[in-house]
Amino acid sequence: MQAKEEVIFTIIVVILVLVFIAIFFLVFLARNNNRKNRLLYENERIRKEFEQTLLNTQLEIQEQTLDHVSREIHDNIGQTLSLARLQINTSEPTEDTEAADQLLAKAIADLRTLSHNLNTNHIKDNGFTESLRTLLGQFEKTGKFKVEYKNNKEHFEISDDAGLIIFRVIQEILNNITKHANADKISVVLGDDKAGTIIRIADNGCGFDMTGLKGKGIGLRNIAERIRVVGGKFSINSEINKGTKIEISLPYAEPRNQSGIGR
Amino acid sequence: MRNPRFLMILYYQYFQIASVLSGLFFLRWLRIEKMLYFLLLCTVGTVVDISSIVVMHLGYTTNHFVLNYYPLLSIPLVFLAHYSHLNLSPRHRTIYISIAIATTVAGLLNFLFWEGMTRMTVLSQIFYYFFSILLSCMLLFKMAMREDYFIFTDEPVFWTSAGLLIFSLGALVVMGMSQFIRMNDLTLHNKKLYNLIMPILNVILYGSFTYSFFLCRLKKRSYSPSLS
Repeated sequence: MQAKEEVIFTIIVVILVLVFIAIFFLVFLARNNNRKNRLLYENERIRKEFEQTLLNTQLEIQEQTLDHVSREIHDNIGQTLSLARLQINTSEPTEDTEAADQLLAKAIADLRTLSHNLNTNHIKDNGFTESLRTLLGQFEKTGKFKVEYKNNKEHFEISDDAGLIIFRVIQEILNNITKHANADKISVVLGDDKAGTIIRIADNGCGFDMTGLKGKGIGLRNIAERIRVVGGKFSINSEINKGTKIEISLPYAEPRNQSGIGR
Repeated sequence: MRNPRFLMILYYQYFQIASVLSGLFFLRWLRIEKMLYFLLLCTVGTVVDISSIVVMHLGYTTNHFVLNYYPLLSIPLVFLAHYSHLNLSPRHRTIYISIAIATTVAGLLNFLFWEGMTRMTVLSQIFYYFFSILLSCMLLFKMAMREDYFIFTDEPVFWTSAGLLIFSLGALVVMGMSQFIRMNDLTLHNKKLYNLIMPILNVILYGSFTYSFFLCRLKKRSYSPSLS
């Protein structure tokens, strides 16, 4: 009887040992998979970090170039035009010189505005909302557009770097509207939602077919990439003859990646 | 003849029924995950097991002629179940199909002529458990070799293979020693060793199958190690 029990015990032990080996094997495979996943995750993180750095550098170079152009306009061309105006004003006033003086005054004013729009420090010093208001004012002044601007936020809190990136993005969007949209009305609204701040830009232009956008639209991709740098999201909605609506959402929290653009 | 109304459902059979019901409930997702043959495998096991109890209650002295259908049907099913998951090369596919056909034919010949229908077809069962272990290990290795991002324990086939592996290892020992167990009448607390071990293994098998079918419903269709 005892011998039988020993045999049964042995069989059970053999089965248990085999089951434990199987479980050990399964755990080993699962742990190995976890390790591989961690490696893949790490690779992906490094790749994204690299992309981010690359983008930041590109943006930094762009800002430096714009700054340089801005200074050149202000210090060089602006000065030259001012001197030319002075020359005209010191000469005998005629109808022609007055007209030239007016034209020069307009050119100087336009150049100053352009210089300010391109200047990083000017945008940073004035703040995002003020710079945006000025920019939209300039658009309205052209007489081609009726611009509607609404700021539903009491305090628009955005870091200088993030503000600069978003400002440049809005500049590009407005340029696109000027070039392609054939619109006469632009609306820019700053507001809130649960996740953060929302900037809505809409026009009443010709719009475009969103299906034809797949794989194309380098400009739009660049805009999306730049918004991603400040931790935001970008969406676009357009229909032919129904205008285009763009939404930029920015998180409330301090942006994950400070771009460090500008000096 | 015993009254069939008083059928005793053994505890492990609840797991069998649960696996079949969950499989049917999540059928749509099982189809997406190519798990239908695993459901069929469960169904065969459940139907054969419950039928064998019904047969005993109907007054038959043996239920082997019912139980013998289990390895007979399960051998081709286990090959079919693993086939689509292994993604074999054309050369390996030919070898796989040849082995599957040869094993199925051997099981059928054993069922018809050698051990016969009335005796327990131990050889067919050993074949079945052996190939189940082999195929489960192959599938698990195949998964381990994958280079994309996925979570092992979120994969339904991981649980079916794990369950099948553990079940088959235990069952192979029991079946391999069945002659010895029968000859020596090995019992523990008046329970045959077979009836003592197999239900526990069945709980593991059908429990893992149930969870696997449930995972088919939950599974994310695409993974990426995205940081966003």
